[in-house]
This record gives sequence, C-alpha cells and structure tokens, in this order.
Amino acid sequence: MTVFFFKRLGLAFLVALFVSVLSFFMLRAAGDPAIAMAGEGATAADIEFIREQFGFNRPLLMQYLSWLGNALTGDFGESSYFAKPVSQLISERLPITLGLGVSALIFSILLAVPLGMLAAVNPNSLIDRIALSVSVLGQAMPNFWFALMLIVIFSVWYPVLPASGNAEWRHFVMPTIVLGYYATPAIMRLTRSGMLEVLNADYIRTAHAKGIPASRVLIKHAMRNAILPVVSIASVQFGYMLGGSIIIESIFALHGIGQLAWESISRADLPTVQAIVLILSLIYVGLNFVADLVNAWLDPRIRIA
Amino acid sequence: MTMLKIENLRIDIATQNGTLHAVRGVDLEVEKGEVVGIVGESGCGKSLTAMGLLGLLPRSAQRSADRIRFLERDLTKASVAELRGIRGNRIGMIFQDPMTALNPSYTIGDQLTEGYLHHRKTARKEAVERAIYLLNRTGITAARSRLSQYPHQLSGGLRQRIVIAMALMCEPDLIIADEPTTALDVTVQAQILRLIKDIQAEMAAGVIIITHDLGVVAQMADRVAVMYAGEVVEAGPTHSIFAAPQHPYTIGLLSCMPDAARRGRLGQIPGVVPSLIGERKGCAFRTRCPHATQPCRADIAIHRRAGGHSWRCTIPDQTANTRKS
Ligand SMILES: Nc1ncnc2c1ncn2[C@@H]1O[C@H](COP(=O)(O)OP(=O)(O)OP(=O)(O)O)[C@@H](O)[C@H]1O
Ligand SMILES: [Mg+2]
Repeated sequence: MTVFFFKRLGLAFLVALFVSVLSFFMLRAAGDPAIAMAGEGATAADIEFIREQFGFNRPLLMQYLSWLGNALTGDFGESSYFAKPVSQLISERLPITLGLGVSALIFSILLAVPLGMLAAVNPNSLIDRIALSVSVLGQAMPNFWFALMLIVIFSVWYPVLPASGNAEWRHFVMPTIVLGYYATPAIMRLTRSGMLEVLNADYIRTAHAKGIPASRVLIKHAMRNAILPVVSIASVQFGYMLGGSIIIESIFALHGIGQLAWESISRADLPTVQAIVLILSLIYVGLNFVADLVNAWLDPRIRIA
Repeated sequence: MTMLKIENLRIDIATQNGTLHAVRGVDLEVEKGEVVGIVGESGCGKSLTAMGLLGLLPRSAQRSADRIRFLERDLTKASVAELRGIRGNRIGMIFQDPMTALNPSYTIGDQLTEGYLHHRKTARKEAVERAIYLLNRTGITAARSRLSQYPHQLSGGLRQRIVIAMALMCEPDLIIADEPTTALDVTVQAQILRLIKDIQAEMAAGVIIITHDLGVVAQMADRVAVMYAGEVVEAGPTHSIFAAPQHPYTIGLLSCMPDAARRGRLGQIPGVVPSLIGERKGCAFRTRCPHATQPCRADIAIHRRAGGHSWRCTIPDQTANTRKS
C-alpha cells in the first residue's frame, strides 16, 4: 500500500507539472498578452510599457520558470483588471465554488447511489423505472433552464429560497440541486450497471450459499465491489462540476471562481486566468489521486498495481 | 437412513423465446454417508438441480417440487429464514470455478469464518481456529498466514481447497460439489477428489458430486444419476451402472470414456441435445438414439430392477446391446 501510495503520488506530481506547462504555454499561444491587456486604442508605447512591466519580453522559458517559482510560494502576481493580488482574489472566490461543488457532489451521490442500487436489486420494477426517468430527465434538461425553473418556483411563486447571493447556506440550496442533478445520471447508471454485474458474480452466490442474511450479502459482498467504478466517475464528475459551475454561478450570482474565470477571460486578465486554470487542474489531479487511494483501499487487487 | 429425498423437482426459466424447462421432474435420494454422482452433458440441468434444492436460483427461474425432504424437513415449505439456516450450516456447497467463487475484496480468513460466525454465534477466535484446522486438513501449508491473504494472491488449486474448507466450516450433513475439479489441472484434480472423499468418510456426510466426467464418478460415487436434457434417464449403484448400463444414453456416455484399451477410438454420440424450451413428449434422447422406434414418441415408463437400478426407456433390458458394443 505504501509503495502504491508513493507511486500514485509521484504520478500525480508529474501530471500536475505537465498541466502547469500546458496551462502556461497554451494561454501564451492564444495571442500576445501585452496587446490584449493594453486594450483597444492603445499606442505602441503603451504596449511596450506593459511588455516591460510584466516581463513579456523575456524568453518564454524564463517567464514560465519564474511564474512557476512564484506560484509555488502562492504568489500568482497582480490581477491586471482587479488591481489586487491574484492569490487574494482566489482565496476569496475558491471556497464558494468548492463549497458548491462538494455539496453538489454529495447531493448527487446521495440521490444516485441508493437509487442505482435499488434499481439494480429490483430490475424492471417501479423503482427501476423511476430511476431511469430521473436519469433521462437529468440528461435531457439543460441546467440553465432547470435553474430558472427552480427560481420561478421557489423564489417567485413560493418565495422560500433566495435567488441570488452567497451570504448563507440557503443561497446554496438551488445551485447545489441544479449542479448536483447534472452529475446524477452518470453516477446512477454506473451504480446500477456495476451492481447488476456484481450481483451476477459467482462470489455473490457463494455468499448466499453460506446462509448469511440477504442484506449482509448485498451490503458487504456486493456494494463494496460495485462502488469501485462509482468512486472514479464521482471524481471525474466533480471536475465537470467545477467547470459547469461557471453557468450556475452566474445565474445565481454566486461570486465563485467560475464567475471570476468568466470575468478575467473577458478582460484578458492573464495572471488571473492562468492561476485559475492551474488551480482547477490541480484540484482535479488531487481528486483523481484521492479516488485512486479510495479504490485501492476498497479493492486489494489494485494495491499491488 | 435417507437424508435427502427430492421428488419431482422442476425448474422453469423465463427466456425471450419462451419458458425453458431446464429440470423436468427429477427424483434424487441421498443416504447418510453416501456419495451420489450426477453426470450428464453440459446444459442438462445438473447445477440447476443442486441450486434448486437450496433455493439458490437465478431470479428468472421458478422451482416446483412435490417434496424436498432434508433431515425430516420439507424444503419446499421452508421459509427464507429457515433455508438460510440450512445453507452453509447443514448443507455445504463447493462451487465449480475457484477463480470466481471467492470475493476479491475480502481476506480468506474473513470469508472462511463468516458463515461459521453467523450460524454458530461464537467468538471470532474459535472460528479462526476452526478455519486453520480445516485449511491444514485440506493440505494447505502455513494456514495461519493464509488467513490474511486475498484470493488473487493464491493459485487455483489453493483457492479450490479454500472453497472446500469453507463448505465444511459448519460440519454440514450434506456436501454438494458442483464440478469441483473442472477448472484444475489433472494432478491437482486427483488430490482434490481424494480430499473430498477422505473428508466425507471422516465426517460421514452425504455428498452430491456433479460432473460430466464418468472417471470421477467411478472413483467417487456409490450411486449415480445420469441426466439428459433435464431428466434423470438412469440411476443406480455405480457398479451396476458401469457393469450393465440400460439406457442408450448411458451406454453412449460409457463408450465415450477415454479408456487405455480403446485409445484412439473415442466414441461419440452423434446428434445434438433437443431444445429445452416448451413441453416435450416421449423420450428426449430418441433423436440421437440408435434404437429409437415409434413407441419412443409416447410417454416412457420407468423400469426398475432390484438393487435400486432404474431407467426410462422403451426397451426393458439393454444388457444384450451392451455386450454387443
Ligand atoms: N439464468 C439462466 N437463464 C437462462 N437459462 C439458463 C439459466 N441458467 C441455466 N440455464 C439453462 O438451463 C439449462 C441447465 O443449466 P445447468 O447450469 O443446470 O447445466 P449443467 O448441467 O450444470 O451444465 P454444465 O455442465 O455446463 O455446468 C441449460 O440449458 C442452461 O442454458
Ligand atoms: Mg453446471
């Protein structure tokens, strides 16, 4: 297990490094940052000044290394639009997005996993159909439309929940539902098919042949093996949700990192965009690392890989 | 003493093409301390018969039987809770494929002791001691350290020994071994069969051994039931079946046996097994039988002979035919 841990940690580290290279060079390849930052109507002298100030005239590799070095100490430079340190912007905004992402993930797991399990245990039953409908609906419904419907119902017709802001937990209820529901179909279908497969496995028959209670067979012998692919997909879905939260955050006026990303992209605020891309990717890499560990803990066969 | 008596066991499976009558009125008896072999080609309903007895059937299967008497109880009338009290406790199952019969996520020790702890409600320590005793008994070295290993760390032969030990944990009265050696190589096969036989004698348990290998039957069984397309076509004491088989199918099977004297001339029964979907009238084997005649299309009477040898065929005595072939 220790060997596995360090192997995976090393791998995660390499991926993170690669991501930092990609996020840096791809954003640079998108155009001359000095021109974009100077904005319309800027003179050649303005552009030259910006180039000088931000160090864009140095060799690209040098720029990358100094950016990475600073980033490692938590210094992402100064936002050209907000005129604040980028690290400060991010530490203000990130908790909101992460809070939303985590609660949405929990919501979708709590909805999808039990429903998928029940559907698998009783295939073609009423509960299976309900699960299927929930899943199809989740896939067919655009989440901005779903968000608007929730606002109409719970903020306009029956004003029980606030439609915008992020002051207290009630502001997060609708965004959580919308974002979480978005991830539900994938998690549920995987839970159902995983569970169906496991229930047909020989070792489930062996467990029944021992005479232990059916609930025990289901929870101990079936669920643990069925949940493996779900752990992996949940971490992938969390990544999607971080991306998807741009839309949700702007609908519900949550000042999270998604909205910050949108603003900084439209203002060509390069240091901020770069920092956001890097941090979201690192979160994603970290999540996959955690998912790997959880799976290794659940499945002894993975541990030696 | 008869410990198990199955009367008219039927198992129907709902499929897309209609109802598949996989087991069609099987009768089977096991005496205390007796080894009964069930032989037959793949798909003839051997496993389903065994599973049906324990109620371990797939969801799509439907079981019916006049009676399944096991130790003074009728299992057709037993509740789910009663059945679970018998499974693993009074009846131990040894499964066909040791590679898939064990849960990959739990240690050998956990899986061995689980049923024992449930049925006996004892301290873990006692269950562990019992597991170690049985692992030693099945010829596994360093038994104590095996307990913390996972199935993927063990070879097929070792896993099959563990599956056997698992079936024996609660000292069952009846052991059902469903092709316990098919997945193993020949040398290991012989060891495992010897092991089952020894333990059976030691515990005076009844055994049902399912196989399509007549060699295994000859070596292990006191009595044999030959199955064909969901029916028992012939049953009787092993020596009687081997010396004077009556049903043409049994005769065919025996001539298929690889025999040192007849090397290079392996008999084959021509033709294919009839579909199990839908009802059937007459003898199931008539499409492949060299002696088939018009009466084979009608209901077939069961012939019985002293010593418990019985068969379903229109020909009352095949002894002459056997001698000929
Ligand atoms: N779950 C199922 N669904 C549909 N048909 C099934 C199912 N299980 C078994 N059958 C059918 O029932 C028949 C008997 O199956 P069974 O497993 O008892 O055969 P078997 O004699 O044990 O064969 P083998 O030697 O291959 O193990 C087969 O024709 C099989 O196709
Ligand atoms: Mg079988």
